[in-house]
Amino acid sequence: MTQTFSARQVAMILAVVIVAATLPFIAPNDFIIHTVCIALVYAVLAASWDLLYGFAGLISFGHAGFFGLGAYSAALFTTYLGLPAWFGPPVGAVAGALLGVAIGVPTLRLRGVYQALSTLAFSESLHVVATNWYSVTRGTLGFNQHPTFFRMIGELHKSYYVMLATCSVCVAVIWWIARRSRMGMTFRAMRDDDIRARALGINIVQQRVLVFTLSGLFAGLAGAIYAHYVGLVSPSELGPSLTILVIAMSTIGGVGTIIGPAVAAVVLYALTELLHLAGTVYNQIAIGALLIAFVLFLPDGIAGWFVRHGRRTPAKS
Amino acid sequence: MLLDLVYFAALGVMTGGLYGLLGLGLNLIFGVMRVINVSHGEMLTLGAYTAIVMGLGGVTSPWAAIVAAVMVVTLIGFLIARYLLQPLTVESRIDEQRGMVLSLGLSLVLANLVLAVFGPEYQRVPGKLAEGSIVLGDLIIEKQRLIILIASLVLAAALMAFLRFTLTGKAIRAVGENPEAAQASGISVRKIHLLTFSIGSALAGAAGALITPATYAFPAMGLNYTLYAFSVVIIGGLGSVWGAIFAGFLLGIVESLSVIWLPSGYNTIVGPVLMLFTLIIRPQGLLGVKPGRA
Repeated sequence: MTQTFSARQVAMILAVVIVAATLPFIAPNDFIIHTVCIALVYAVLAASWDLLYGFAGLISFGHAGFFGLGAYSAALFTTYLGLPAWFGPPVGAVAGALLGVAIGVPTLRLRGVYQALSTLAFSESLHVVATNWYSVTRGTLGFNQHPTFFRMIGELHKSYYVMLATCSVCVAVIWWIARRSRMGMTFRAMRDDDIRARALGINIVQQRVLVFTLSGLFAGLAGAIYAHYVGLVSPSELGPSLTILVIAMSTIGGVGTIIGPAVAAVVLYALTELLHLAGTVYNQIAIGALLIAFVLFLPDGIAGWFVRHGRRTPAKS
Repeated sequence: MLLDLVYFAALGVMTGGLYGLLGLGLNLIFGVMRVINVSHGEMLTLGAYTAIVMGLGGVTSPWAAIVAAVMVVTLIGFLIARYLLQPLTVESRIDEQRGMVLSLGLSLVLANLVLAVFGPEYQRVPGKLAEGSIVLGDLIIEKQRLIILIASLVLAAALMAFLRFTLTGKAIRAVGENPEAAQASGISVRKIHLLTFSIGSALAGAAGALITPATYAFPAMGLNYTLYAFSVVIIGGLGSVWGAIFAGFLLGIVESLSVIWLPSGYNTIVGPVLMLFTLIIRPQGLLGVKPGRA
């Protein structure tokens, strides 16, 4: 499965790396750096959604649940135990993974839409709890008592490198799991034909729980990083519009590629932030319309388009 | 305490009728086209805002608003089915996952379009379905809510009669049972899909116009109703008409009674939690026969 890269690809990758590494010095203002930081979090989230859908064929309508739970767990844990922010991300990852088990185990028998609806029900329940459990989460005001990695003003450069490093590593690990490891191959076998996969000796039950756990782990981790970067967690982090955004990013980027959704997440988030100048309403409409257009005309996303047009990008799994 | 129980149960029955109606429309679409329409609640929003527009235009009769809402939402439903869902149909079946994701995008677009046009304010219609209340001892029930319940039941009964006794209704059920066989017997699956989606949406639109005189309309109102409509479909069982009505009342009553024991604000959790339990324990639903696998 070794791959050779063309000179053009090497140049492109190198260019991205250089821009990413020097961004704090070349960006004209802090707003751009901040936008990229958040966009990187979305890249991890979109990649974790793609792991579930693009590789195991399980659709999650409740990815905001993993993200928000990770964010709240990390924030509450570090606050109440008085720990520094660095303890947050592992806690968020564990919380997300546990939720993955909690969703994966009871819904093992479910397929397709039923399974999608169960993830939606899970995350909406969490959404209601976070909104109303005022004494713990401070409700719609948002929770802001927890420590952040660095201060937002003055230390943004440090934050940026932390975000860049963690998020790139996360996406790389997800990519490796999905496309290079035995696990990823097993997931794909399960997605394509679960009866045949079972006949080949794959333990479907175990693998389904495993992929939910892994996806939840990375989504929870993304939530925790977000919480300790921004310093504010609100119930909208658990809301359906976040899930829709993640699904839109993955679909537009190209499901089943990991890199496609991650890149699309960064680009789309940056674009919607710019559209913010025109008002939140319009960027929501634009995302929805774009999602519909891609489902209709380019269902395998931008990555799929590249593949079909014979570029030497890694073929869709 | 007992009076409270009776009072909240009565309130629950009244919202339950509405949930049932909403679930019935979704169940029809789900059962026949095998696509989950996440934008179902937005059809209700559109119905409600049609009523608002009628009110702004000087039409105060809520009944006229309901008729208008049904017409508008039927048209919108038809357009969605024709131009968005039809392209996803391959050999009489809609691609399940693409359909799901598309309707997700649609709900985002519709809710935010309403927000862009009408603004975030809570709005009301000028007219009322009926004035006054019925007093039964200590029990006071708004006449208006009673009318909403009756109207929901009448619409549900009309749909059931249509599905059961007319040739078109039978064709719809046939497509739900087996699209290939239906196609082979000369039924145009394409037309049935368009009709089904329009009818299902129209019911949601009617529900939207029905409730606005009793409450208010706001752009994000659809989401919660979508969730409840899904809960109704799952709890009642896919394809089960009686199941949807039963589940509607069950949800309405449980949600209403939950106010007694749960702190306020938590009552919206009832729908998703009951749905989750049903999915885990009995995926085919209380009255459904097909197993919960699709």
